[in-house]
Amino acid sequence: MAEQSSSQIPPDLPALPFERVNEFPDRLSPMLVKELRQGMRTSSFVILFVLLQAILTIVLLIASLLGLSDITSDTSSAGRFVTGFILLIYSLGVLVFQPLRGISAIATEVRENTIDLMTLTSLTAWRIVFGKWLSIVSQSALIAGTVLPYLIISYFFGGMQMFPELTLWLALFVVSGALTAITVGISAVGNAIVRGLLVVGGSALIMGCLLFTFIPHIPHLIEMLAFTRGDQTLSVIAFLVAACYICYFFLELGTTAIAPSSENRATRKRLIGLGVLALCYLLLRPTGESIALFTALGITGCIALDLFSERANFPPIVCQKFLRLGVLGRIAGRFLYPGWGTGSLFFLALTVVLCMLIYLTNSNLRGYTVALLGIGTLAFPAVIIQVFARNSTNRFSSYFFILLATLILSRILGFLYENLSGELLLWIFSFIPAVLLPLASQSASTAEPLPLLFAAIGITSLYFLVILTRSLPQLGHISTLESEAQRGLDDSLLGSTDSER
Amino acid sequence: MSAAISVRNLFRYFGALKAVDGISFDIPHGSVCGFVGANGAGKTTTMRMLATLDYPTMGSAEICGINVIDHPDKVRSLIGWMPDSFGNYDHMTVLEYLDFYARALGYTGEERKGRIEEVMAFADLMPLADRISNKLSKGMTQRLCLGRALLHDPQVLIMDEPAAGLDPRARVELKHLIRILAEEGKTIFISSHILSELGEMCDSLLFVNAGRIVHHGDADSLRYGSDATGGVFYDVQVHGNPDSVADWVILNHGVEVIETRKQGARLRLPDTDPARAAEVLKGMVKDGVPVIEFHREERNLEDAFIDILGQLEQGGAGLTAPPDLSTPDAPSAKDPSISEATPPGP
Repeated sequence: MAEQSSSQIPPDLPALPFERVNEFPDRLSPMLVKELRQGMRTSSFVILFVLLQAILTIVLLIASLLGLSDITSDTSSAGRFVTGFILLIYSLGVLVFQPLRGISAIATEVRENTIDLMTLTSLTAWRIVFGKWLSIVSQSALIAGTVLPYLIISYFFGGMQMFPELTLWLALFVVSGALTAITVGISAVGNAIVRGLLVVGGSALIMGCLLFTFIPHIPHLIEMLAFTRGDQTLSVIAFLVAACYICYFFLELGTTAIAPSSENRATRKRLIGLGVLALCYLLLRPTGESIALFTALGITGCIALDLFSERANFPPIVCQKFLRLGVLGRIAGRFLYPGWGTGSLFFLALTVVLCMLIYLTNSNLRGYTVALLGIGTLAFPAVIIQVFARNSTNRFSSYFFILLATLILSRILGFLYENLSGELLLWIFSFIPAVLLPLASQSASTAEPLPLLFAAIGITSLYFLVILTRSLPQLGHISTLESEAQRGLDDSLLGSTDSER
Repeated sequence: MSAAISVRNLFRYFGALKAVDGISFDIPHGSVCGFVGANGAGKTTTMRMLATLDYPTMGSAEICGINVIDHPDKVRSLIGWMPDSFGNYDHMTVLEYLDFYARALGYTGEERKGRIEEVMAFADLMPLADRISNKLSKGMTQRLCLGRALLHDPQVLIMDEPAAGLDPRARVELKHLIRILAEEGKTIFISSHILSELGEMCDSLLFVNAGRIVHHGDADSLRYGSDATGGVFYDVQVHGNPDSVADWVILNHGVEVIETRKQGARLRLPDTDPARAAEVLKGMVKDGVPVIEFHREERNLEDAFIDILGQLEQGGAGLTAPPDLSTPDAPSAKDPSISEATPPGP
């Protein structure tokens, strides 16, 4: 080819403008370089960036003019207003607009058939997804960086607690990273409806939270981020761990969707999930039982989303690492091989671990009840899929929709119960265990929590029975795969013995 | 030495649909093999499995002796893949596009620059360096895709319908580039609907129908192929009375007149032995038949392909059977693993 090429170059061609492609050093990830090149030129980023600067400049100018015109007034309240406004604008940018840019990150590559071309390079599936995420987060960092001077300027208006407010600024950036990971990950696995729902529903939800929860609670958050109490520090650590896990989990979700089936990504993902669940529960337990339990259930929800939607087929080579560990490896494989078949068993293990954590931290019966109701709620969509939509081509979207509908229905029924006190209504819908949660909260103050606990055990056990029964064919197929993998191991062993001879 | 591409009993089912139904073939190193079949015959699915982008329901495939299922990463360094359709990136020039892939393939510094320069020169992309990659014509896009596929100098090129949608000039340019690559010793596995072009550049042709190989041989064997009973056809032209050929045939055994023509006749010889043809010609000349032209009849490849499909419909008599490379462990349709098969990834 070299000879050809030299003969093909017309002599009057200008030299290639290589300086234009050397603006990024080689040590940077190729994906990051590509995404930054494209991302920085997109109108959405440029418009957002310019708009933020313009709004913040105008607000500061107005605040300065007002401050100068009325020097006798309390400048600290003006300062608090300016800080709150800057944080709101910054939050809208990094918590709504920037994460939304990830919603088609992988989907576009898949639709355009370019993902195939990328996976054929030395880029691993993880590096592709991570690069996409990192690029958006880098651009968010650019926005965060340019907002920082305004935040510092607002210090001069008074009423600012520098350290906690900068910590809040950083915390918002961490949340932005997690939200971006969610959109990037879901862009690989969710169908167009899920993505659309995330764009409309997700952004509306976050904007609602920002306006009605975040802004009024800024003083509380700032107080918490002052780290005056020990449990606050543990809570912040748990928040960081959970945020990092959400980033990892959703990026891994996207990675699994585009990685070859010979790459076993399930084992590590499940074990890390289990570890994070235990860690967050233990870190948050001193703050309160409820927050610890619901955080643990949230993490379990993430894990379940993946466990029940993983593709079931994988080649025998995946079993080889487990088979080298003997009987223990085979047993571990039943929980850790990829696919929803083993995922069902792992979900059972997860439930046992959660119950053990509750037992070890001396929780009362309410803890078990809430945990089992939560687990039953997460198992319910899997049961529906296993019974009615076994051949669903996109289990993730099916699971996501059923779970979402379940949670919305539970919330509506909970609202009706609180306002109409119709306990019977909750029991009628008790096949969705989450609807019983208001009763579980109430049972903490009553003397008879046992019937609710038995109901939670009964419903959840029934769901486990259905899931595990329907997973049996998949689990049976694993033995065939293990036999093939064993033959492969034996052959390679024979081969190496022969070559030694 | 193992074949560059080796496929054994490869199956790919999508639910009840048998996209690839137990195909086996070998492609030697340094050869160009055309992959021919109607839409939906299983060409793209087979090629995607070879390119490690899909995995088989059952069977094995190897590139240069490396299993595509067990070691996709190793295989990927050996192959260059040109899909039938793909999109390019917005906000990215041709040079940046190639730079991205060169970086992704692990090239750094001067080596990266060298590789990009080489493929840009080869695929004539130099004048397009600053053009936005998703605003190129189809022909330019295919050249860019070929350049990208060649960045890591792969041993095997898998090209799925590279000439589809190209204008005649772009098609000639692409054919020229493929010829150069073949001369350099690369193994090329190429699918196309334009059989005449494949015939010119391919050492062998694989015909696939409904997921099965129905012919594996060189283009000449198809062009000069025999009929169902092994007979071959010759076109004879004479100066003067065309009946002189038929008269000669009546006196000579083993030769039949299939059709009398204006300037001669169409003859059928019982086998493909060239010595027999030489003997017939010699006999005619000796007996005073004024032969001015005597040549074996050449079919075009499209006709050959249609003939093969026709013979298949009639029960397969006279087909050039592909070599039997299969092993007896083909799956039955009742295999539970088959009904559960789902395509991986995106």
